[in-house]
Amino acid sequence: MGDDARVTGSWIRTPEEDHDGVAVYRARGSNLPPSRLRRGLELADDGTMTELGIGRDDTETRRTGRWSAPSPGRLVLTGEGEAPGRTLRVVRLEEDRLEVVEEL
Amino acid sequence: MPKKNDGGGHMPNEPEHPAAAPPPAPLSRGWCGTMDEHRKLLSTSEMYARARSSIENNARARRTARFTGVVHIPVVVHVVYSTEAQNISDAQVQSQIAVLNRDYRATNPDVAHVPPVFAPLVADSRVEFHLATSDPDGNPTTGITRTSTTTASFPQDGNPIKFTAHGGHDAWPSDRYLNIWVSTIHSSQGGLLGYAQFPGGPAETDGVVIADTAFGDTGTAAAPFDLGRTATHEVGHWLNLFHIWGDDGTGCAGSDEVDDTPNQASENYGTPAFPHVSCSNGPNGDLFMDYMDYTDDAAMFMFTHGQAARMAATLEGARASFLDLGAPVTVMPEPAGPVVSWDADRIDAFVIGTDRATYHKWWDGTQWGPSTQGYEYMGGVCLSPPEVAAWAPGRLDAFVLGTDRAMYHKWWDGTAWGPGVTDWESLGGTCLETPKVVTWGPNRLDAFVVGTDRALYHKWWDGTAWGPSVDGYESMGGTVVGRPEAVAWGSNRLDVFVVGTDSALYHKWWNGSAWGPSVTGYEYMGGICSSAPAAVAWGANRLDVFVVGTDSALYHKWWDGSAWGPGVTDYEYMGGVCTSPPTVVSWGDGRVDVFVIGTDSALYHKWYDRAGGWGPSVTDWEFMGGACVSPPRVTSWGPNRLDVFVEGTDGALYHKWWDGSAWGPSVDGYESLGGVISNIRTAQVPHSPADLEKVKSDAPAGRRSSRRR
Repeated sequence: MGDDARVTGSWIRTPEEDHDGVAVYRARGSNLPPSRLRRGLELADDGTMTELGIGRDDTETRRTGRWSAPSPGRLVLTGEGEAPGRTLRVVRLEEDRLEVVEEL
Repeated sequence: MPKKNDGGGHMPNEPEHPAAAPPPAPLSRGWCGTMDEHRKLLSTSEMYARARSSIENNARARRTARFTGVVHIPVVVHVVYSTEAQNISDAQVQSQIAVLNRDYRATNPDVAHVPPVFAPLVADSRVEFHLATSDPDGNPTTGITRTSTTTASFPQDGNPIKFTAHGGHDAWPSDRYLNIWVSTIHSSQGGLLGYAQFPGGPAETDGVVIADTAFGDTGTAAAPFDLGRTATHEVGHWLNLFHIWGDDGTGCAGSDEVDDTPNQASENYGTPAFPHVSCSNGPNGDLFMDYMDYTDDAAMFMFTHGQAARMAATLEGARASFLDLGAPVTVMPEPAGPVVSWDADRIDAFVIGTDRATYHKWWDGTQWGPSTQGYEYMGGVCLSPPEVAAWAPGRLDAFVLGTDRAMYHKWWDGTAWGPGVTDWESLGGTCLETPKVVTWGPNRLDAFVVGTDRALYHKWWDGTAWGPSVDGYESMGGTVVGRPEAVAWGSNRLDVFVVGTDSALYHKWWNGSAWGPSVTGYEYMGGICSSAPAAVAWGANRLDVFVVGTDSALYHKWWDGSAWGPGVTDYEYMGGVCTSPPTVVSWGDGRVDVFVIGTDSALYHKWYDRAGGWGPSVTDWEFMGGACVSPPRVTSWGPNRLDVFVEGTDGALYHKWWDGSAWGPSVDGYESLGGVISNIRTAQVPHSPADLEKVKSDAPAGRRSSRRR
């Protein structure tokens, strides 16, 4: 995990770069190839979170909630209301690249 | 023969179990933020929520399609551009229409890549698409609007591309047109390929939006989204299909509301390897080769029967207005001429397989070769049905269009195929319609094609050489809609009939020394034709010409050697409601037989006999059964003999015959001749540079002699 890299920011999923069960995100603004529609994750300094999703009609969805890092290398994402949260284990973090494994 | 669907009696929009489905759930708790357009509408528009509820009820009540034949969807493509590159070519637009037609009829060559365990799921959705020929005001149109804009890239949000006032183009009436907007588009995550609106939504935003770099399979289309599948996917949504993974993120609880698709966790990308297991769906795993997944264009190549039924429910419900539009002239299926007889008791039938290669079978007087159900593989990747002429016993000349839209030729000289069984001779040209070939005598061939300028072009074989040259064509003027028709009533005589952009019939002729009325001129013959013409000559100086009118009835005119009956620009009404162009044949002097497909997809027949006049009557038709998805093909190898071939809804070829006293195997019965046939039904063929020589070896080996799925 790079020392200077921060997990906050806007991350866009690049499934074409996934490997070994690891999900890859790139920083928004990276020069990404075209895609049908990409998922994404926006993690703000104030602990708020937005998940970018794929709508039924291929339009974008945005689900807001909160994020936290209860232990090193772990991210917990919680939607507002009663939706269950997700726990992500960070396996690589660079300025323009975030790689995680979803923990069930 | 597949039986006609007999589950009639249900009006469109009539839910059989009105309470079967709950209204769509409002936003699930915990889902806050920005909703997709679909959920936005659900939460803000009671009318949309009610429409969606009704549409889902209808989809659940109708698990099988009730319409017969094929539904034809007029398309308007709104090209919105801020750079010249975005102002995509007509050819690129046409290539997308061709992709849609292949994908929605399961005639895409790559359907052969479906893993065998999933092959039984592959469905012909029986939907075809064509560029609109009349605009909302009834004026002729190319079906393409072009709008210069200052917007470099359109956001999804707010749909500005769908409004002239916001730099885009207003939708055409969504009950009569599928609106497709093409430009550069984006969402907050960056560039995207396309998005859609489900049935039941506002008319002013109804349609699909596709990135110009993912539209069609030529021009600016860029890999790996350069096979036109983005539009196939989005039009699936437009016909009410959901994503195959069920739209619940990565969970296994979501459903696409289709019974025969495996449960699947989340979307697949790229070109997955089979099998890809999720949600305990092993051993076969995800149906990632379905158009409603998220893979690359090259990795998706099928809809399922359940998806086809869901789309059919939409076409019998929320989009039922399209059922009544019928087929316009430019996409009316072609009266393919690939069944010929060079002598008594000899028949040669040519078809296109689902791999778009040409296949051949023959009747030698005692049996079908290579077998009753089998076919001889003849190579090629063909954009048109074969057109075949026989100028002498033991002689065949076959013509097709290659994927480069050039014409290709092969011949049987009595002992062998030239230039080779699976090889073809290039004859050049860039042709928009299936070639029409006619012969007026031994060692003579005349071919007529339509060029990219829609003018008529001609070339000929005089026994020693092609004129004007091997790859050259003689320009014959005109602006032709649909396929030309040509007939020869005698040696060194040709009569050519075409439909013009005014839908009227036009005529020109070769009298042995000159073209009349001139090389590039035409005789106006009136009419408002909604099919290509069909012409036949039962003898010298006699012509009978048939067209389908805008009322779908058949119309007839004739040349009796001195004058046109009933008049130069008049037509005799012959009744019927035709969904195919007429196919006509004459077995002898004073005899004509006409076959069409009716709205019930059955075959219908009428005949003229000099002694008895028209049978069963001038305006009546004989019912001959069947559920046909292609126009009939007919040949006669002698007096009082007819052989009729149709394609059934299962893609196989079926045959019936008149032996002089009765129809075999029965009046409404058919003999199955096997195969899975892909007739190329659209009159306009796509542009895609590849040639027959290059791809001929790509045909799947297992499909060469017998092509049953």
